[in-house]
Amino acid sequence: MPPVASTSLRPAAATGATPAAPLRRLGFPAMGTTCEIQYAAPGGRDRSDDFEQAVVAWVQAFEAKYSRFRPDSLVSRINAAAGHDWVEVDDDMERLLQLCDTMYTMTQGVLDPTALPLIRLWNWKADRPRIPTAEEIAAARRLVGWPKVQRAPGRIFLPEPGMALDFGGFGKEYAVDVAAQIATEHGLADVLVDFGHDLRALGAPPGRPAWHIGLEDPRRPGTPWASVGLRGGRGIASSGDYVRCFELNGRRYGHILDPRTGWPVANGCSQATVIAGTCLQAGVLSTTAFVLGVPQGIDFIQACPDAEGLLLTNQIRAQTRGFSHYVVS
Amino acid sequence: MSVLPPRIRSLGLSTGFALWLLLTNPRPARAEGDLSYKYEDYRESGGRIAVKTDGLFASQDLGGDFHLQAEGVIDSIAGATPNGQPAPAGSDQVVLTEMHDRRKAWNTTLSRQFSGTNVALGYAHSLESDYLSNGLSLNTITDFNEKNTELLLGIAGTDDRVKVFYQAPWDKKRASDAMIGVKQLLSPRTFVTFNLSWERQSGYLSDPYKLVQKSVEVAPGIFLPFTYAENRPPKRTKWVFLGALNHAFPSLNAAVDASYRFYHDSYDTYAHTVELKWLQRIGSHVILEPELRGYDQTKARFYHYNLDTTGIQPVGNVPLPDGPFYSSDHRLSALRTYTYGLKLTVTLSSTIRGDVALEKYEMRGKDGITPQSAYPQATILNTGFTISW
Repeated sequence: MPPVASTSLRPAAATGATPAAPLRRLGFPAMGTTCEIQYAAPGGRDRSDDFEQAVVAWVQAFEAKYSRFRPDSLVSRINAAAGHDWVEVDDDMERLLQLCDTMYTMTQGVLDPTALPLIRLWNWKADRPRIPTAEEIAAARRLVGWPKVQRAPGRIFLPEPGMALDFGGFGKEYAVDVAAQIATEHGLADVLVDFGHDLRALGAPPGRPAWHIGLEDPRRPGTPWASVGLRGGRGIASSGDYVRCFELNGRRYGHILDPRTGWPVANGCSQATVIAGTCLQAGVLSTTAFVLGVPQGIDFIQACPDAEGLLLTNQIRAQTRGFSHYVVS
Repeated sequence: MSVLPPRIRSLGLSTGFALWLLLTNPRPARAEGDLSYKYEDYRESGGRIAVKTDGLFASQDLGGDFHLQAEGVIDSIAGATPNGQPAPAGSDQVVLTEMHDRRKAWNTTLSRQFSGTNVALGYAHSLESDYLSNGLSLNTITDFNEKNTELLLGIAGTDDRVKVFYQAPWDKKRASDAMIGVKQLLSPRTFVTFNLSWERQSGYLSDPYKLVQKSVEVAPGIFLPFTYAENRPPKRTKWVFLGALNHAFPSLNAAVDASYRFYHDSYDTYAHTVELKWLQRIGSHVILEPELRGYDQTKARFYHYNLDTTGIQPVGNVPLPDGPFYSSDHRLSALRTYTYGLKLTVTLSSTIRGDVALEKYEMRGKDGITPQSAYPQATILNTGFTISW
């Protein structure tokens, strides 16, 4: 599962009027992006230091364990054993595998943690991208399918050589939610967690009613077309393929794939943004809605409890009934 | 669609019974048909669910002892409702979700009066954006004992389709109902009713819009709340017993209607409903009908406010017919409801009457765990008119 677009949501609180009290900022590189946390620190330096050390340590441990780019990670060991060996997993991994169950079921297979063979095939980072042949796509699709993954208590087995797990489609959003929870456990009430523009907002900046998040205009990347106000623990995530893509023979191929077809999404949708109870829910829904397009994507978000969303295409802007409640400018 | 007896048309049972019917349902005794319009506004306080219903009902004697009824209803539903997630830490307000829908439904019943027995065949259809229902029913009422005793027998079945937003095909839900009932005249002014009904549901019985939450320790001392779709058992059997007493007070121009209803189902829910109505005729054109109703239910065995203190590990790939089963739908919790209201029926002419009713409804949790914010309070306005011919 390809990662969601990383350029469409930008915190706007710090760039607006000066808040009543200064915000502390924590920034560190992880998970292939910049992780930033803004927070009000009423407990002073000691509590801040404890929080920052705890959150950085957790994120680094999470990445070390689950990144497919780390050859010594648990995910890489599972992938390396595909087709020949069961691999033992701990309770943490079991929990993430159950999350995969939930996401695959809830998204009707749109979010498939085994889609890595297709992602590798459609290598939009290559110097000279190419369109895979139909045979190549068919061969990759034969290696894709979460239901094929065999599991037993404490163990997992990918039955075909070449099968692979990738938590890139939800790992960052999951980490955002955990970071927000670590902040809460450290007594911090006003926090904005922003890992590569997947965000979770607790409370509000001091002296302001809400965290303002800019929504990027797909036609003018880097420029917001509107902003939304978040508070009360809401998460927001956006999916779009207008930055990570390649063009060939006059046709654009985005980086978000539909595992059900093996091809990049080409339904005219340029951006999907979802606000939900957690960043993980928002990320899962935004990617799913992007793949489903208009109007099915909107219907899907509308049906999910406690979620609002927006889909942009070249022609129209479609949104759920309650999304406008969040738009502040 | 539940088994409901067809409208009682045998007005000549006895003097007392006829008096009561006339009192409760003032209509020309020889009417061959009628047309009714009903409007209902159900409105929960605090911006929660509001339902507006427009209904049209028509009834016509066809001759040859045949009678036809038809009813059409349009519901518009909008507002916020609990989605099963518990209140965030530091708050007692459970999480609400906005919903909007529209339901169109109609049903028709064709009945025929044989010697001593009325047989009614019904068909019902209902359509929402995510729910389709079709049902058939067959009901009979047989008179015995010089029409002082009625035996009601009914069977029904529904074949429904549920659009679960996280599943591609529509899921199935089926129900079979059976009912037996007796109405016995005890005196010219009193009769009693006993009904026993059974229903068996199978298929997708969960609510796809309800969540459960379980907090999991993802790092030492760090708990992350995970939400999952609920998973209810795929089969449910319901038993309902109803006992009712109706007594007329001719000297007061009044009647009392008291009933008790016992409910039990295979979710281990037990429920009791007590209802009391007083029907007071004022003059020759007005009937006032104050009403009280109390309802008490135990929780379904798989209801949990959240799963934190349970050993249940929710599953991702619901529905799972073999369990584990869990739901945080507050409607399955231990609760009580109270309803009180007043209905006014006015006979405007020999062929036209109108009515208006106002009810207050309150639901209260009784498990001491589920916050009161989950339970609604509502005001229900009913009004309409009937033209008979």
